[in-house]
Amino acid sequence: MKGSGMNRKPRFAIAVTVLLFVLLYLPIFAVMLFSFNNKKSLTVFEAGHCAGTRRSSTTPS
Amino acid sequence: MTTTTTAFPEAPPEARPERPARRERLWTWMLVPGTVWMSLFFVSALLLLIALSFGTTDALGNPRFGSTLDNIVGIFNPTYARVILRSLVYAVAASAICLLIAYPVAYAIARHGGRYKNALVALLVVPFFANYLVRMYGWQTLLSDESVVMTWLRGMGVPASFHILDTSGAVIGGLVYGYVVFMILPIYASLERMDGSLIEAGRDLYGTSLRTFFAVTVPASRSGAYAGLALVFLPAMGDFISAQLLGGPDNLMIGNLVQDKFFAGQNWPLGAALTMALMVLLLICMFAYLRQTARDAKEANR
Repeated sequence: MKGSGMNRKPRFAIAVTVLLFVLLYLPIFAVMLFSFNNKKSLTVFEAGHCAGTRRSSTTPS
Repeated sequence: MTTTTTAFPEAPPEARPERPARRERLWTWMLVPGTVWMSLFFVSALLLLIALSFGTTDALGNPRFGSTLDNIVGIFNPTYARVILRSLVYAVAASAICLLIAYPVAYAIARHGGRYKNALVALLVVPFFANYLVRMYGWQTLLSDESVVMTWLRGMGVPASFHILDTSGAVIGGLVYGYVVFMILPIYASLERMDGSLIEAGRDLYGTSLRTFFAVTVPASRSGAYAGLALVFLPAMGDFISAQLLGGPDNLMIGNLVQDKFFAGQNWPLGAALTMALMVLLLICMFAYLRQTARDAKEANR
């Protein structure tokens, strides 16, 4: 049927798009997560009680 | 007494051209602030940099203007030449990968995004609200040897000697991550403008989707791809954050050398000469891009 090709979803292009969106946001979420890290390390995570955010909000500028 | 029926008599024909001329003059005047700004803060800084590249440093490392060619000759030192070549290779590789990623993404959004098209474009831009440095720190967190990603990979059987951080692949990946959106947006713009019936006609003519893509979609979006290549290659060549945070000491780029000469090395003249070398390289690429787009425009008008 003419035009049916146009309506077919390009699976490869959509897969690449989804993957790109995941990769675009992944480091931002990692930084957001590590803002709650109890340790000062950027690699080892230890769940804290918003220590980083509390520290940044109380530190005088 | 005679009265006229029209309240606003039409202007005589010879008076009409005055209006566009006045408007043109207004636009010319509006160029003044930008020109003054660029002259003061860009051209003068550039001239200062050129003058400094012929300078020397005193015993304390303070820059002194001069007329020596030592800094220009110093660029051809094998160590610097290797770093310049490495930067070129990384920037070319990053541009090529960006092109390969950008086409399917731009195609999917432009041709199949439907009513979510604008939202998807906005989602592409949103990560740029976070600083480039912060996002690179994010990658450092994710790719370091003790990270969750690497621990998971090791659990899957990847040998312990394998690491991503401090490799050339990580630097190129960082460059791709940082600049891929600059490739997607111009390609998206040209694909969005493209007539959908062209693809349909291409399908009838060429049969397979892949052949249609190369025979119809790629030529129609070539100008966007060229613009994207220029937008990715130029900043990627001068980037230093990706190499510094993801590459380690063995993967330095020319941007790192310039930064080092200006801040840590206290050798501003050599830093200025390296900057000039980078600018010359980028200018050559820019001219090649302009020549290609001019040739394409001429072909399109034929």
